[in-house]
Amino acid sequence: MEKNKSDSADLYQISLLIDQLRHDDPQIRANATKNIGSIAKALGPERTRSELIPFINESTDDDDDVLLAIAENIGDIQSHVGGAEFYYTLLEPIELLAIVEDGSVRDAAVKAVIPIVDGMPDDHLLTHFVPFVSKLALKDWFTSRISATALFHIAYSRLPSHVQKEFRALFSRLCADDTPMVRRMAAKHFGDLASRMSAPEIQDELLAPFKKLAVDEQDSVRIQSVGICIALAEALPAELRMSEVLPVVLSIASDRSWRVRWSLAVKIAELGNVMGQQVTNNSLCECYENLLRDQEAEVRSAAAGNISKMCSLVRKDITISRILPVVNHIITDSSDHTRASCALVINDLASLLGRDDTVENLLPMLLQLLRDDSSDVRLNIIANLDAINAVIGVELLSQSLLPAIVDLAEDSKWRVRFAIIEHIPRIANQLGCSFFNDKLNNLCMTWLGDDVYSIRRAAANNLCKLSAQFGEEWAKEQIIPRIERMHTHTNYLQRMTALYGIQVLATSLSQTTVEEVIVPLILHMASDAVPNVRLTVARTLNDIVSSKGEKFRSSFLTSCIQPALMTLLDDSDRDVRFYARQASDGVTAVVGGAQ
Amino acid sequence: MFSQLFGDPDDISNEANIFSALEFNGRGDLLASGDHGGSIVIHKKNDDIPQKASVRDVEGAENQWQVHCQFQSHEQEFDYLKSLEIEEKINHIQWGKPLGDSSFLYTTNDKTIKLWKVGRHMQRLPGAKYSSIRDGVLSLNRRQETSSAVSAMPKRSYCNAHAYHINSVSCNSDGESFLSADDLRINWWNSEINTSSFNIVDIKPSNMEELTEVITSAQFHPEHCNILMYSSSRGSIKLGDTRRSALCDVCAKVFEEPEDAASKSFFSEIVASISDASFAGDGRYIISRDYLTLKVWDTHMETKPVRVININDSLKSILCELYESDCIFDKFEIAVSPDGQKILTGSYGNQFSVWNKAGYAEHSIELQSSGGRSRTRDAAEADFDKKVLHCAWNPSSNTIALTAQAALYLYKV
Repeated sequence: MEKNKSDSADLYQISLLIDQLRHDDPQIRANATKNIGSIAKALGPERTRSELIPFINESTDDDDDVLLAIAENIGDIQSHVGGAEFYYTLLEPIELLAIVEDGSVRDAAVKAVIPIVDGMPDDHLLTHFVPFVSKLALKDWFTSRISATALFHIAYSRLPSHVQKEFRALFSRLCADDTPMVRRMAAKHFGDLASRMSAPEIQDELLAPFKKLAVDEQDSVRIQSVGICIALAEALPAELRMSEVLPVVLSIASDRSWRVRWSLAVKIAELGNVMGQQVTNNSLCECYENLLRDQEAEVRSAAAGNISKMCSLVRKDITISRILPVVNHIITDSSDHTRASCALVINDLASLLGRDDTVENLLPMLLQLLRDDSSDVRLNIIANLDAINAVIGVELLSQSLLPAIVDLAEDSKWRVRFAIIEHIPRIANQLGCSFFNDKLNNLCMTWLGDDVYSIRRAAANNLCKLSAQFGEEWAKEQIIPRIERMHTHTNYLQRMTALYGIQVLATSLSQTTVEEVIVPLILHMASDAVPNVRLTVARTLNDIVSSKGEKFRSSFLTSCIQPALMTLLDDSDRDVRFYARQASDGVTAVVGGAQ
Repeated sequence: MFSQLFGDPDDISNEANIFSALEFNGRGDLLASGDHGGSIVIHKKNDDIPQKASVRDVEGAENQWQVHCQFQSHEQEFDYLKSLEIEEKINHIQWGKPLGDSSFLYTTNDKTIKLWKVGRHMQRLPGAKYSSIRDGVLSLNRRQETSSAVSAMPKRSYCNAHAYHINSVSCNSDGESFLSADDLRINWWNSEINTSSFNIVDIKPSNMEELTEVITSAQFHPEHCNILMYSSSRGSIKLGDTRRSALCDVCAKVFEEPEDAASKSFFSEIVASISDASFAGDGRYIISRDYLTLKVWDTHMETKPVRVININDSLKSILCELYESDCIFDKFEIAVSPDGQKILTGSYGNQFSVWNKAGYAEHSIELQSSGGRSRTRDAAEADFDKKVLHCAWNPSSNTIALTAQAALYLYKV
């Protein structure tokens, strides 16, 4: 009886789900579709095949969200169709999804094909998968041809050679399709197919379409050629790389459209990697220099971002004699973005150049970038100081570093100040304690009094990290006295920041210090005139007790903290009383737990 | 020859019905019209109806075009930040690439562009049950017979990209991107992404006091994916090449006729403002219309137009009255025949004219609901409240469409 009841309850749930699949509201339909797997499970394999899949086939003229949900979840049905010999039944709904005009639905449908085909037995590949792909590739709807371009490579290696030849022919046809979007997607998936083919096959059949795509009149198609170059360079032997791929790369580098040149600038390091040392040192290097000097700032930025990667591929003497002079121009480039992307990676060159060459060639550039007008540039240099530190140490930079940091710390944009605060612990680590004490300590304190709340908070966290780095004694000596002074500041915001500062410090200090120094500071403020401060006192006490409670001596808790909380419980302000109640409960729990 | 009429030409009571945009689709079988009320009506050419041999027969005028679909595209909105109303008037319509039986169109009002899909969709039966449980066995009911009807589904909405009023939308030949132009900026969108777009032209001066010209229309080249054209209120047409640089402020070509100092007057600047410009045929020629003339430009020659056609010379003498009544700011559209040889444009008094690129007027006709021609009145004596602002030329047949206030006329040329 019970089993029947739970069964029928389940069935009822499933019935509800099915009705929701056809609900008027598309949101409800989309949500119900995500549970398609459980419906399939409840129906069982036969009925899933004979009823659920046709049901889904009928819903494919639906709202985009629903279609996307179907495409993303159709894989859930796969385990309920009755085994691998029935996987092919799922190809029908996927075919309907693959011709929809919305790109994300098509992508999801294509993705769903992969597990289905991987699990399919080989003979089914021939009887079901191959016709499926051919149909999509030859249909007159351009969207189906777009989806087809992504399908050729999926089971290619498992197919017999005459079918592989058919597929290659179909693919070449799509590469020359009338519709620009189809050619573009064929170019995008070219590499996937090429990587599964053997070199002679590529040479015979794919090189011609490749070259045509590389000179296509549509910019959007030519942009994809760099990806193809990389894939072909990996698949082809060295002589073919030189004779077939390299000329195309050189023509891309001098393309009329800046977007095509940009696509090369972005991937040039990857390309250099696969083309091999000799080609990179000779021809690609020259290409790269031209990209660094391109007339369009976007191209220069993309190229500049790859400086360190390219230099790691070429010989050191070439780096010094050819690339560094161009980099010298980039640091005075008119576009902020270019200089900023250069600053991000330039530090990495230090390890490639070695100590002496860094000092001679790289250091002047770094110093100039540290004095740049744009704050992004200066921030990017400082962000990556580790790389320099490892090679030459920061002392040589410290002269220029300090003014740069001070400038950034006082920048009018708060996000810039925020960013520099994030870097301070690392800089402090590299510069050492004494340097920090002299120069940067005051800065960190001023931040605690900044106008912007996020800065004050970040500054307090900063102090916490510093005290963890430099040790408790340092904290007691340098930081705590100053925080004490903040406690008596006239501005209540400062006093609250001081409280937050102590709270985070408490996490990195020893128990005795907390009891002797920190808690009294907090309690001192319990009688502040401003309720916000008193409220924060209660919250801080709560935080400290709950995080470190067990470590406190219970006598300490009862003698010091609880009386203070008692007074707060009688406070005139409602919020103060609330938080005091919370803190008090927390203390009681700890005391009780200890006992 | 008159062919069909939709709407009532004498009804000017309801401003919402006044047409504001008109466009044929690429295949020539659909005509979309937008009005001040934000609604779109799509007419479809019915090929089943046999063509009458003689079109002179007024009563037997063919009803080849029928209303296919109608929907509300934009609603009136309120911009809370600036305390301004955003009108729902449709400013421009562009057809996108069709897919199977469905067609796509972009419609825009002052601030938002929307992409619509027009096609047959299944109608749902409300409250139908699709599953039932009998004896502990779940069963799925197959879909009941449902009707399918032609409707428009909103696909995407591209908003918050323009601070000024959008005047044009144009699709790129790559099939997946389009541009939208407002008075000072042009943005380039990918159809799939409605959250961001690239700004490719920005003519806003850093000091708004120095503003001298605004963009009046923009269009992508019909074949080259990298060339765009925009016209300005100073009478110049600029061609931009998106390949050269990310921002096309510096133009590849500028087509501007130097001002004739002799005929300069108070109104010459206003009259020089280009109301519409379009690539002709395969894109070799550009046709532009300002208040008094049509200019044919060869893209290979920037110094002066190949031909200047004075279409409204008689209005020159009464520019003052036209300025008083604001009629001087009317924007007349042009339409070019598919072979690029003929130009169609409208005028006052419900008149329209078709010009040959060589400069000769082929037709000059007053719109009338009955067939037959009538003698055209001189433009200066025409009724200035009756203007044929919008027109379109079917790309696959010899039909033209024109609007006159709340009426839509179809003619055969």
